[in-house]
Amino acid sequence: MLLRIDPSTDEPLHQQIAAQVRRAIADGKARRGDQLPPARELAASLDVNMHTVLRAYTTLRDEGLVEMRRGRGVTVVANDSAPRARVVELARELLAEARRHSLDLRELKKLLESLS
Amino acid sequence: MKRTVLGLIVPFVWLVAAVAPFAIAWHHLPEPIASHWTLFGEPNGAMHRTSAVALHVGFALLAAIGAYVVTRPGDHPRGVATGVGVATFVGSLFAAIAIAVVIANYDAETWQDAHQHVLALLVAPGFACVATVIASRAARSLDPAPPRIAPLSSVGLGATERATWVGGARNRGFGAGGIAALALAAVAYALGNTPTAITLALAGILLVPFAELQVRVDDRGLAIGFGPAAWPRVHVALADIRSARRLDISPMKHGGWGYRGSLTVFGKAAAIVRGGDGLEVELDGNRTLIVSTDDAATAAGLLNDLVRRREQHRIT
Repeated sequence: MLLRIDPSTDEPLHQQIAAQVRRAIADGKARRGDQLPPARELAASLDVNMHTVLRAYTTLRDEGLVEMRRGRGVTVVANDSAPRARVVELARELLAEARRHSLDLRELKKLLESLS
Repeated sequence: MKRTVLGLIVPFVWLVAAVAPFAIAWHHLPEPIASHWTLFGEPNGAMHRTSAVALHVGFALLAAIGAYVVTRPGDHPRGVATGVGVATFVGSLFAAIAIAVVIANYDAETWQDAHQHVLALLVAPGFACVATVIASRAARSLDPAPPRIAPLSSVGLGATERATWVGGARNRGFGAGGIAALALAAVAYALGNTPTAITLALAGILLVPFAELQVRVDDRGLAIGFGPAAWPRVHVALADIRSARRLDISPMKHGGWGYRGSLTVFGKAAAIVRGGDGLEVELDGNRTLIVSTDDAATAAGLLNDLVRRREQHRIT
């Protein structure tokens, strides 16, 4: 699983890390039952604060993509996660793009409803 | 053509040379036959005729299978030469011994009468050595070395990007075998059979680390952890790495499974838990490290990018 971040962009690092894991799950590079690197190790590898990694992992847990257990590390749990992770990732991109064009959430919702 | 000669025709000749003397002279051989001689050619050991055939033909057959396996296309050139050399030595030695044994025993009343010519003790191994040198030299040219000028793979790492790659490889067979050995060790200990328990426990302890490899690439270099606990760990600093590429591993070519060789002593080491996808890392001082891992192409690409960036930083 390749995880890459770019500190020179505006996107917060924890979001970048979460996005990379989501993409790895969507691409099938990280499968159900796979362990993600311990936060301390990943933080050292990417030269970021450990809390940045933990924040990314917490986001992924809240999305139901990974499970965090004390002493057992972080495990990919999403079963048919590939499509789900992909949708989450696309939705985030859509949201970011909409913000850039000053489109608020209500308008975006309306747009999605009109399309479906 | 050469592949067919070295992998099929020559080993077949050894096989025939091991079988034919027994087949032709079967009714002229005593039972049992002399199978071992003193340095002066006096017989001092015997075995049944069928055992002698099984022994010589068995080794010639093993050598033939070995030669066939190592000469299959797509193999590493140095591996082919060594493999063909070993197979030829075993095959030709046992064929030559079979001929010498049959000649010595031919028309002897009992095995004690089967005197061996002193020269045969020198000729058989000498012949095997000559055959080995010729065959391994011929095999060396089988696969031209892969051109190193091929562009190194890359994941397109940007100048400001930070990246890490985590992966590894598993061998469920070793894992299950290791756990089974440990469980049996516990049973043996409970039954009071301590030596068996210790042997099984050692087997289990040796198997478990090779059930899984955990590999990590980042700007500090390459880290390999053995077993589920990723311990023991081998770390290679990025400064020591020159390049990396994906490799299709066949464990037999690299000395089998487990951690083979030594970077310090032989300049060559391999951490292999299964065949297939693997990473070949070229290090300073003409050293090579081979590691079993899934998605080795990405790992190699990232390592190459990190090395390249480090070199650029050093120059500027």
